[in-house]
Amino acid sequence: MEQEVWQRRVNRERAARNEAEAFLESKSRELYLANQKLTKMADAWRYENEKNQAILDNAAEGIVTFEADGNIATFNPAAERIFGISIEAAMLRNFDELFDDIRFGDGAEIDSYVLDEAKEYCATDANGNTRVLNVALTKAESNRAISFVAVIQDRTKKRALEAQLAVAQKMESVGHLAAGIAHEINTPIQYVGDNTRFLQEAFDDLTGLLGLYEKLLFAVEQGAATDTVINEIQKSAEEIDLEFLAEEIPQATEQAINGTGRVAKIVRAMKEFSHPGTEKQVAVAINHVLETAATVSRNEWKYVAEMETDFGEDVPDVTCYVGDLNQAFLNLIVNAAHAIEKRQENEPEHKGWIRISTRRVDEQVQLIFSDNGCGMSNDTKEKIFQPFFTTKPVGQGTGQGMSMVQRFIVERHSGSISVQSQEGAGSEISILLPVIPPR
Amino acid sequence: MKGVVFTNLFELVESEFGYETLDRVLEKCELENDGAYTSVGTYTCGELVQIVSALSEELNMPIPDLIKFFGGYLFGQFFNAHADMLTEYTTAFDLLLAVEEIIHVEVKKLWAHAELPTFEYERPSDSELVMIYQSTRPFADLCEGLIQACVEHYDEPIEIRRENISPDGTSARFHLCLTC
Repeated sequence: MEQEVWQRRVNRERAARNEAEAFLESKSRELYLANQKLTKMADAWRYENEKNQAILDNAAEGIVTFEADGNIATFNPAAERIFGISIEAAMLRNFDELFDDIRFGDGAEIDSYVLDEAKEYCATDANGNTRVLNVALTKAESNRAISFVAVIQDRTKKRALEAQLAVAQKMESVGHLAAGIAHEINTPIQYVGDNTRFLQEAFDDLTGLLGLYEKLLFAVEQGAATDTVINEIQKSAEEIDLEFLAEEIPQATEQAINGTGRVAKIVRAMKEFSHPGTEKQVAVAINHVLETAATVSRNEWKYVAEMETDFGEDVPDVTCYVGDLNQAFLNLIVNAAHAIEKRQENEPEHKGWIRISTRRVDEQVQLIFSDNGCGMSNDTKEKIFQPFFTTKPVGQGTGQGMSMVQRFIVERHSGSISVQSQEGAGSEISILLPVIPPR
Repeated sequence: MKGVVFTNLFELVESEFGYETLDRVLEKCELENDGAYTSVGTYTCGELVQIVSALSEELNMPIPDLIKFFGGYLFGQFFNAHADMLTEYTTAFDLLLAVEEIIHVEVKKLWAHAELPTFEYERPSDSELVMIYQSTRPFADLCEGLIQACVEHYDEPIEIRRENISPDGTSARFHLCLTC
């Protein structure tokens, strides 16, 4: 009996051992397969990693990642070229320290820089040069951590070229306006000249008369006869029409002063308009900028339209790149004039008007340019901001005007533009400019 | 049910009641595998219930008492096997509070598919600990045996009060109170 018990025990132990060995074999196989799978995954991960690294290394854009505390984690070679610092140096810095105008404070402000669209910031590179960088910042949230990815395009050269282009376009405008300006100056100069000549002749006449009066004074002092001299004086006064001169000289003087004032105003406006401007934004009276644009373009619109202005007295100074706004306003006025001119080709009796109004809307200034020109079709309205789109004949339009207006107002000043137009009736361009440009 | 539970039960029966007793029980159960269990295997819970029932009958000991007794034995076995990991816990409360978040996590590393009970904890005061046991298996008695052995291991004056949440032993509330 005891032997049977022991035999059963041995059988159970043997069966248990066999099961354990089978289990071990099965686990060994599972382990092998898991190892194979892991090896494949590691290879795939390594491949992906190498691929991602190659993309990072060869990307034309700077790619920088950083953690929620701002510490830089990834800094690709393009970023090294842009900022002029090595990856090792970058890893010791916070992302905001790379830029002149990005500050995270205690880190809570990072989210405010995460925008739907890329935005331009300035950075000073290792050589002390200012770079204009277009930064698209995105937030990457995972279960483990929050990190940020910045894709950075160096727009320094592009901006420099754009600035040169803007100067060239401004000079083109100046050239285009020159004939009109010359004409504008010629009219007052002509009547200044006429009046000055009149004053010169009047002065000659009066000098002759004064000579006779001196002769009379001498005769009186000597106690000599004066009848002859008095007759000469009366005759001369009649000849030079002294009464007329007394009346006309003050008027001629006033007209000459007005004429030179008019010339001075045009020259000042042209000088302001053609000034290359500064790379920094300055606070300017926007109504004055509009007056300048209207003055320099006067010869473009005065034959086709009346200019009406309604400038709000409470409009505050706007911090802006004044050269950009000069150009944008000029383009809008000239476009309005051309639209009226086009309408007058079919309706010669049509009396054109251009109205410019300004008013304060909270922390913004609204500028409305309206005209009763030919208006735009819906198709044209959709395309007006596209570069090189124009409805004007060759030689009159390059298709840059409205595209430039959009760039100057929207991109450079964070403003907005809305267009309303009715074909055959006129157009209204409404601009909103922030008084203080956002960060 | 992990085979380690079966092999530990067999060791207990062998050491306390002799191999013949275990042999009789296993023969009586007419198990499919003839009672051959390995600690690394996985078996049905029904087999354990069948063996425990037969053992209870053989020893003339109520099943709850037998399971609690086994729980106490199991605690000693587990503690000795993993002493290096468990010595960092210096009180019964420390160890019991680590069951869900630490010990069960370690068990899962070894036995990824192990079906473990879950514990919820309440601390009404520093001297009280409430453990709410929940399982798909009716082993609240085994849990009680383990808790009891843990308290005895640390030799602390802790009073254990059990309150069944379900009558089948799949969930229970253990209120442990340090009495001085």
